[in-house]
Amino acid sequence: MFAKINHLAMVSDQYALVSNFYQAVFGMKTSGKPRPARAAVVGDGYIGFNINPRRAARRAGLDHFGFMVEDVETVYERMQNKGPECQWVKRPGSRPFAGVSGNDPDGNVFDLSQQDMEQRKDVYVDQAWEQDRTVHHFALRTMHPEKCAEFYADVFELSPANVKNGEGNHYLTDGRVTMIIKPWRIPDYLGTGITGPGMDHIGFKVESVEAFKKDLAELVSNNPKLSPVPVDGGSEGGATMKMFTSTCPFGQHHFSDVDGVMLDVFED
Amino acid sequence: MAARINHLAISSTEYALEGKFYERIFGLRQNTIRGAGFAITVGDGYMGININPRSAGRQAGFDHYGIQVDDVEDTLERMRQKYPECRTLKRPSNRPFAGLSTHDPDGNLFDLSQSNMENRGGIYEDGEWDQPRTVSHFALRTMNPERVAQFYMDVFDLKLLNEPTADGYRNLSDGRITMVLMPWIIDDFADTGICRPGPDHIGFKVESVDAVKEELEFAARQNPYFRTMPVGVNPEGEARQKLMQKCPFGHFQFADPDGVLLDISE
Repeated sequence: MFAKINHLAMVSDQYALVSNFYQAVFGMKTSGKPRPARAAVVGDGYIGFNINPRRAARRAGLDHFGFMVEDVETVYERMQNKGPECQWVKRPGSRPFAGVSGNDPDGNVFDLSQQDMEQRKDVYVDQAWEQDRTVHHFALRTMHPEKCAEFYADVFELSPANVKNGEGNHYLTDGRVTMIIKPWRIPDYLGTGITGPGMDHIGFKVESVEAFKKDLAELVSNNPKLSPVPVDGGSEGGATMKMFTSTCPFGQHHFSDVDGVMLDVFED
Repeated sequence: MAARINHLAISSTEYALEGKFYERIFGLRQNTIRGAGFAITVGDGYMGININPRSAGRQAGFDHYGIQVDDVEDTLERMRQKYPECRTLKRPSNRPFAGLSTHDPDGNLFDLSQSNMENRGGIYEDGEWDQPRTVSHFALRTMNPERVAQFYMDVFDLKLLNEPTADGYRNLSDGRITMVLMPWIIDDFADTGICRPGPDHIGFKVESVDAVKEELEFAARQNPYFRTMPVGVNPEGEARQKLMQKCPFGHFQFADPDGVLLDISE
């Protein structure tokens, strides 16, 4: 496997609470060597979430994703063949995952790391572990999904996933995590608030959707501060939920995290 | 074809506080007709700013903008002729500005309205007034600024104010408000957090930059919730501030309490 999708990043006004949410709800773990003054970092043994404190100029929400690759030089070489709009930049040394960040033809940002890069810290250097609830997929909506899918297939050697292709989606996998590249089409937002192109949602595989729902209800009753932001409330929530459920083939239960990031869960 | 850029929108978990900040610092007026359950709408007599409560699935921050035209059918026809990839969506009637929403060739989202559309309400129907502090410009970073500039010139007759600069900036005007189109280049974010393409900052023209600075300090002492989110306080913040200072119109850069970047000039 040339590339592993092993990083998702959020920006949040309540980053510590969001970290607690993922630990409590999905059993994700923090590193044994936490850095409390920095972003909260949690992982499922394969993929790490950086939950970054929001700073001026940053939008809050699901922000970007990242790859760990065998050889970044090969990635640079392949990106050069993808057109001048696909660029990369080396990052400041304060970041635990990203040695480099890059962008696809539509301006979707991803981080790039190599196993032996000095900047890797936190859950990204911990040994892998097994747990019941793990990230299965994430989705982004973009203007030119076909071109972007080709970019990720060619540059990162992601493989087409065996999923029935509805709604113009493209599905690529690193062998464990599936990346769903959806078309961003304004008519899809009929009856609800429109969000621009970008990251869409995260999907988890769980041992039992019913057990998961029960756990979540119990958790919220014990600590209301961990309540998900309602998705289907208000005059536009029904359309938001319909759009969410109809454009991802995996999710069996749809909700959001404590900060409004859309999530779905499913069981095999 | 007459087009005016008369709408900016922010999404925020602190939407009520944001409304009060813009009232307090810039003297924008709030329209309260719609009641407390909806977005806060404030205006300067020409431009309205909708501050929407952030809902699930939305990002918080400076979100989109809006253009009012005198003939929406003409606008749509121009888009169909030259930019068929730009689709349009009619919006729910609970939105006070937007009759329609659409996007430019890079996927930058904007609202579209006509002066007599039934969806319009609130501050957008209040008539105009003069005040000393007003929105002068806003900026967005986009993948193909040249093509996007051509779109706004072709569809809305916005006027190009400058020859492209070395940085590739293009400034378009409706006669009062300037839209600054900046190229989105990942290299620009080398030493700071990377923001994806989209709206970047809002600029105000004020009677005195020093007076606004003093008021920001006074307001924060009076009410700590009015503290602005710091921008240039660490190396990454300094890099972000430097990037923002490339905007040709701002003389003092800061952020509102929710982190939306602002600049002001006299």
